[in-house]
Amino acid sequence: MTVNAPLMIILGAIVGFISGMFGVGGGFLMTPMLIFLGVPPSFAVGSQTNQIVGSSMSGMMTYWRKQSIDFKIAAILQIGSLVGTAFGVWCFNLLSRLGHLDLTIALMYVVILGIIGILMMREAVTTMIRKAWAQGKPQAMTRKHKQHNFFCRLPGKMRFPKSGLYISIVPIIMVGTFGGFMVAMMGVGGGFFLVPCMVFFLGMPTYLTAGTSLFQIIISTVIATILQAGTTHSVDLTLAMLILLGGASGAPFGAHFAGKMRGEHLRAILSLMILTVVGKLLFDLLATPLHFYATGSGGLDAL
Amino acid sequence: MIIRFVPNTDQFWGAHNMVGARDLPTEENGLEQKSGFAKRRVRMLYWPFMAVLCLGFAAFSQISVARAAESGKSGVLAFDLSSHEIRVDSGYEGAEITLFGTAERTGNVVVVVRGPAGETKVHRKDKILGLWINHKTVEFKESPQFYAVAATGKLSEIAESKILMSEQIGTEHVQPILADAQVTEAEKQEFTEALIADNIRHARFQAEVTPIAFISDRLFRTILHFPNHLPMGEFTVTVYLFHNGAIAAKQTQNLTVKPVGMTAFVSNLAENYPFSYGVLAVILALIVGTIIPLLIDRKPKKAK
Repeated sequence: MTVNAPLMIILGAIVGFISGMFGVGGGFLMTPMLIFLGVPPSFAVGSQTNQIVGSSMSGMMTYWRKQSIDFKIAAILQIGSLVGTAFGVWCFNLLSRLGHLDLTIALMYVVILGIIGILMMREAVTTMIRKAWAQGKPQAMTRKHKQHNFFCRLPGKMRFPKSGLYISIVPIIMVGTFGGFMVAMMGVGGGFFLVPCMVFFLGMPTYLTAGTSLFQIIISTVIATILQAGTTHSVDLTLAMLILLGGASGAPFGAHFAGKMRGEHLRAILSLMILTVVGKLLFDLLATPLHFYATGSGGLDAL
Repeated sequence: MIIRFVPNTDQFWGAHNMVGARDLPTEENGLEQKSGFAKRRVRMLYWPFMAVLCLGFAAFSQISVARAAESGKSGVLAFDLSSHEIRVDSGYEGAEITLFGTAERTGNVVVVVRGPAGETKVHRKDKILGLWINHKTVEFKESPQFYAVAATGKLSEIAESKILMSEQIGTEHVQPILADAQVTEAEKQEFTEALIADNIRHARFQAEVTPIAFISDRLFRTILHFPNHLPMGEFTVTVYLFHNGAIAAKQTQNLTVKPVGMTAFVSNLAENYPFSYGVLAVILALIVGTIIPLLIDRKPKKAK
């Protein structure tokens, strides 16, 4: 299989930039692009997962040097993630055997991503409007009011000085579990779910979310890459290294620019991207397909 | 070697061009000294000797024709490839192999190239709850991963579809083997057609029949084209000679597609040591991901 090396590196750089900026893995963009460029779907997914390891590492290192990672929260998220991933794999197999896997994944993508995208967009836009109104009236700018007083009463509170939070670890573990479940069920979307959840359910400041999310992603994609290489032989090292070179180079620039932007702007752009992905998925699901038959191993490339 | 059959035993000894004749005793080298008993013994041995000789020659010629038919050196059909190997390295962009052979020009020559058999699944999208999703999957456990045909004319004019079907000549006659027996006949037909159409769309099956040309009254030649996405493994090249719609001869040779160089190393690692391969991939990714940001070396910015 021959690939156009410079093209792969550039593609990797673009996706890496986005990954570094928002703390997402970039898989949602990379996999369709690779398939579009002629890479067989099975190789696209596996190689791209390997690439995420590297570019997430690169982005995380940059955020680390800027001291923009809350490791304490990340560690607790990880505990939840392990549980969530195991449960997700079990669900995946169960649904696969029952034959409803594809419908479930399709609905989950659209519904969950859609809700997250809409909520985030709404929040970002209102914040931008509020800040524009509050120009010159600093006392009018309040912190986002806590919509989740319920969470304040949960047990197991810990201090998270980096984020300036004093919250129960229960929502953190829940978020981690949910994220791990999503990754296991859909293979991508770790960042997509984590970042909005961190902002809304945990109340973390936006600038910390990207780095912390990337840290999470590294761990789950390391495991996923090894499993994919071991079971389906779907990692092409040459391809992965090419897009990795681009990705690892683009990520620090993304992270750097993220530091220069305001939180609500980042959230607005991220929610826009999420909604675009949801839109495309909806279109694919609702419009009569070009080809009614497809070959492949099923699962994600079945969508 | 021409043997003159001389029934006259007296002349037998004089047939100097016969194999070994010069070693036999003749009038010149002292046959007369032999007794009458000896002459009669020789005469008795003549016919069995000739019989054995004839039988031996007949057997030898049968064997040599048979072996020649196998190795393609007989007169009916013979062919060879310019190379029995396609080496795939990271710069591989496609290959062309010349196939040439001999056959009667009055017949029709058809060449079928089949790649190694592989497992594959075919999914059909249906509208469920208003959404188009994959609803039915049929699994094939053996389906050629590459298929191409070359012929001296249109396949439908060369032979009846019954014969073409039984030999699976032509993309529409490829019959992959189902993995699961619980598939209805109609579904099998439907999904087989879908598989073939998908394979054609992805250039794994060649829809066009490559022309074969006779460049003399016996020598034919064609160029087989291979795309830049090829499965590795053993391919078979089968050449058929059709006379009046029936198969007059059929021969098969192998063609190996093998990875070389870096591609070979990586494929070998991925196939035989998959987990180590995965770990290696991850470690490489982590190292690259760590080094590159250090190289880019941006000063830590004040956090917002």
